[in-house]
Amino acid sequence: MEALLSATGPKMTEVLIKMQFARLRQSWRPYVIVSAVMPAGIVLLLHLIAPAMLLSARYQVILGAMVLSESIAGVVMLSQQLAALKASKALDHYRVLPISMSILVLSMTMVYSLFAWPGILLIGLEGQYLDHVYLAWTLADIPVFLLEGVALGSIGILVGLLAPDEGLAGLIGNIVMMGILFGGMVPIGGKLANMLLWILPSTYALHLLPGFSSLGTLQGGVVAIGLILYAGGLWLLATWFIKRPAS
Amino acid sequence: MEQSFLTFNQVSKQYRTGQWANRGITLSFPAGQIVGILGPNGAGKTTLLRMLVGLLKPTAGDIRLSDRVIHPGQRWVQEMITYLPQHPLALSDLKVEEAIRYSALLRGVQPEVARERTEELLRDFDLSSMRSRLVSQLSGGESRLVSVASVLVAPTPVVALDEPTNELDPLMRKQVWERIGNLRSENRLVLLVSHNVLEAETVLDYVVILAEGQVVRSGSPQTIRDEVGRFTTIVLSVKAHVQEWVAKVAGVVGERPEVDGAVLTLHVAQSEAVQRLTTILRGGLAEEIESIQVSEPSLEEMYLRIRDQLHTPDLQRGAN
Repeated sequence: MEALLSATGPKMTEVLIKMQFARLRQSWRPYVIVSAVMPAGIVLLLHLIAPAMLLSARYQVILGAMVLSESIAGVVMLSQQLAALKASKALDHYRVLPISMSILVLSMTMVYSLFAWPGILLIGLEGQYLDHVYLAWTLADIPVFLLEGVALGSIGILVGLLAPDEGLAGLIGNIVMMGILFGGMVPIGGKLANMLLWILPSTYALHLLPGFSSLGTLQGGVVAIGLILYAGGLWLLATWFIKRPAS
Repeated sequence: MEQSFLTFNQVSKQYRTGQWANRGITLSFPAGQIVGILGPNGAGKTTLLRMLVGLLKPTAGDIRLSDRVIHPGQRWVQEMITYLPQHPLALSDLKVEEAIRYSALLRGVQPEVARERTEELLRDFDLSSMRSRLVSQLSGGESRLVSVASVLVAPTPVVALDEPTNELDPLMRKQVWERIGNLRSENRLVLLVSHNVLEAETVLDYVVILAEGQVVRSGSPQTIRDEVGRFTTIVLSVKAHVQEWVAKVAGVVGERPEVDGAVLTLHVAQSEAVQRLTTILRGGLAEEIESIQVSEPSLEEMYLRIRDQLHTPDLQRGAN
């Protein structure tokens, strides 16, 4: 019997990721449409009703719409998915498998964050062609996207696990998503406290990165470490809650 | 005496609501046995399995596997026990073949072996033709069969099955019972909860009957028969006038038979079976009988009798 079994961690991780991708294979159409159409629609609407908007304001609208897209995928959709798994008790299936729950959380959050990418791309193009907002995309954006995907997805998992039912999970997920959006509206200025505020609730860290060089080493370091701690902390918290046995 | 592989030691479970699901369960099983946990709804069967697999923590007592105490979420427990719950597994987004093979891989089975075992199960459960279909698109029975296959694909020493044949058609049930029966030869310990006592009997080595969270009987099916009292079942198929017959048989043998259509069933003490049957046949009733069946009681009949007896104070006092 032992010969049949071998502790193949990487293989299990690969399978867990494939299982989450299977969800993508099944549901990508509605997920991508919802996470792309609404934020892109807001950008279009504001472009039409406020054609004289300042460039800085347009910049904020584009970034806010991107945050919205990530939040819909990570917070709203994942909270509903987790609530559905909890309600059907299918989550127990994962709990009795000899797998790493932290890898499970990571694979869920990463895959769900992918649902936002078409929306982010669409909003970026919209901004460029409609509002002449050119975002300074850098390689540093990739880890930020991933970390924010983990952070927002972990929030979604927590909401899904703690909400009493699937309907309320969706409602709470939407409220949290709005909180994330409003959290990003605090003016950044140069104050460290404000920068941390930006990181903690939202993906507005995206906005910080192009200006990293102007932040200075200390502030930039604090922001980067803050982002990692924020995403890591939420990841661990979501893992703990998903592992927690019923009483 | 066989060495205990799995033991429940005074295990109790009380939910937050204050309701006791299990009280003082003490049981012990060697490896390579198929154990049936039977009982009415709400008897605490599923709770017992959920504590075994680490989904619930006992309020009191402990469960030991190979002399190690089981605690929720422990990796070694997850590696040693596979669990089929009553509800669907998180496999609905996968194709049938993927669902089974991935389940093996997630339990550390080597890829080639996982592939072989998957093919074997697809063949044995007649699932080969639907291997590329999504589990979410299958019927309830087919989906349940995939769940069973996904659990049986991993060669763990302990298998916990909660209503494995729910929603399955007769052919599927036969395939599943055969497969479960084969686990004994692999020296695996199987704990199964089933309401389908009649079918489960074909594979069970040991039976535990729970009621109100407590063990009211346990032992081999033979032991249970001896404890409950040996009785024989006489089934008479009659030609017509069933109600008249009920009265006639009752008059001859002194008790009313159970009636199902034109079939009358009598449960009599084994020592009196021949005498009762002779009385019926000599009582002028033979001509209207189409067929007679005399049989040992099935586990289901014993179980139903135990359930009836549970209302009597003597048995309740005798519960351990």
